Amino acid sequence: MTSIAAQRVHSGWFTALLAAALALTLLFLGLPVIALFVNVSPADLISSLGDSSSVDALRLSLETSAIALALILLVGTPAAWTLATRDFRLKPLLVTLVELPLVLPPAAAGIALLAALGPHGIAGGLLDDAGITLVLTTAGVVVAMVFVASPFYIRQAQASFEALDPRMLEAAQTLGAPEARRFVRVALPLARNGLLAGAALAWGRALGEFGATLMFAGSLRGVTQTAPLALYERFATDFPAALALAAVLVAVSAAVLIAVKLMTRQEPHAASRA
Amino acid sequence: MLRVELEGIALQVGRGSRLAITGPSGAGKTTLLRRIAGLAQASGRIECGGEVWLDSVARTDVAAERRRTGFLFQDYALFPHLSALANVEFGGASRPAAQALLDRLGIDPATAARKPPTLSGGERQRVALARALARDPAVLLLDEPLSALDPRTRARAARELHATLAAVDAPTIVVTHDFEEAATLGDEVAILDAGRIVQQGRASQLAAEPASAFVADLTGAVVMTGRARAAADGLTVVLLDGGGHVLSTDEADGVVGVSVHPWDIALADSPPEGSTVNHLEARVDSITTIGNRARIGLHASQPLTAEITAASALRLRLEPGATVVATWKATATRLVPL
Repeated sequence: MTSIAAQRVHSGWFTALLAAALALTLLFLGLPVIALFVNVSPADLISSLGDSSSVDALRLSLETSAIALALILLVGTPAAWTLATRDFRLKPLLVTLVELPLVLPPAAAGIALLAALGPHGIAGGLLDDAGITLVLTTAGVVVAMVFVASPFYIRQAQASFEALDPRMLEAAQTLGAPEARRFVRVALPLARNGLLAGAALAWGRALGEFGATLMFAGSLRGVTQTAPLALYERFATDFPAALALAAVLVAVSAAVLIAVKLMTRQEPHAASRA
Repeated sequence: MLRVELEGIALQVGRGSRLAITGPSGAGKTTLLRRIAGLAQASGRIECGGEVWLDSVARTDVAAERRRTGFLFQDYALFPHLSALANVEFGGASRPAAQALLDRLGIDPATAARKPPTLSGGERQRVALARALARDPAVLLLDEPLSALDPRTRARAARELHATLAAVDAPTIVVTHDFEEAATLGDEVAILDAGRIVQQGRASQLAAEPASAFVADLTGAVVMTGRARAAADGLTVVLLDGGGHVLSTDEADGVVGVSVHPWDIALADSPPEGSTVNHLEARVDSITTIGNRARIGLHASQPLTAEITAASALRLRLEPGATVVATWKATATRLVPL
């Protein structure tokens, strides 16, 4: 009896500890977001959106992040499939290389991009010959976004493909489906939820990209000045406008996150084996 | 004609015939099917309908998607994101052909429009079978086609599956861990143990003349152990381990397994007249009534099982702990190597 009672006391203080940890987490993560909306009056929000440079920055952010995401999906999905379905000697090295931008400081990523693709970079001559300029151009913004954001998607996509029930792919194989058909008709639809979650993460990272873009593409209004860069410029001169822009960015990001949650909630394919 | 020559395994299954493979779990039944389908590595030779699928000597190994196999997976592996009809169409069958096949297996268009997770176990099994048949396979491979069904629908599903398979022209291999199911579904039964086929033949033949105690046990026979030596009248007497003796018309010498089918064992209150009738005094351990039959778990010097009519069980007033005499003929007693 005493041991059970002692256990109850034990679990009581532990539950309290867990609740406190959760409350602290919520407070810490939620407070800045709430403060943002408390500080921005609706009038400020509307007037900031009336400012053409803010609107340009937002539009540029949405366009470049959408193009970056499209490129990441197009190339990253087959790349992730390859990593998930094949074993080769240098695979661990390759996986580490793919994950490197996750831990790379964005400023270092910007310098690395300059060293690789800048006018004096190792591949700069090749790009120059092809008539492609990335530095200080909108295309450069996209390159910076793809560089920092693609690992988020590729990692998640690889994990989703690896988690597929191998019997599904084998069944398709016995039904005469070559790999391309197994990939398109079976793997993609069954890994859909994981792929969407990875895409949302990568898009969020691309939208928030700051350091690498600044180093590699600069902050030219209307050309390379994305919303985060515009926000930084505004913050020194016009704090309310910066707040308003931040509020809009938070709203857009939250909308995407919620949309993905709603899309992935239905049809739990994974339960099919039960 | 399917010809398989792998290590420990040599099989031939002709057009329109069905081979059932049975054995304990871990015997390599599923692996054998996967090797034939090309889903698992193998060395040896596999030939189907004149096409060579595997020839280790000539380094031929046709990819799974290019071997024309119809594979029914143990848990069916239906695509959960496609309707039942789309599952059947996946292998290349036209929509009308797919629906016709589903109709034949009792899946109406309304059911065929639903996705597999919403179907019952029996419906899923028939959709999976239709999917395997839809691509007009050169060989049909069924892995435990009934094990995912609940016991009450299993017997009926087994008869339906038997009827469906009878109309299939492609050589068929059915894997099951259950000997009775193998006997129902296959023209012939092969017994697999530790990756090797230990005996192959008609189910009745395997039950009547098991090549070993292992096969006898698998066919559901009672297997006891003892020491055999020649006795009078050309019979063999076996001194059972633990006491008692039985007579057999088989010839054997030394350590043997004694195999007898539960339905050949009768129960009585007292020892019978006539010395050639085997009789062992036994204690009743358990009584399981299945419809009009009763399975009686007994313990003599070794455990044995008798199957008698439920009516005789009542007449004998059997109950756990009671003592009875189990009797069977010397002609129903097989002596098998252990």
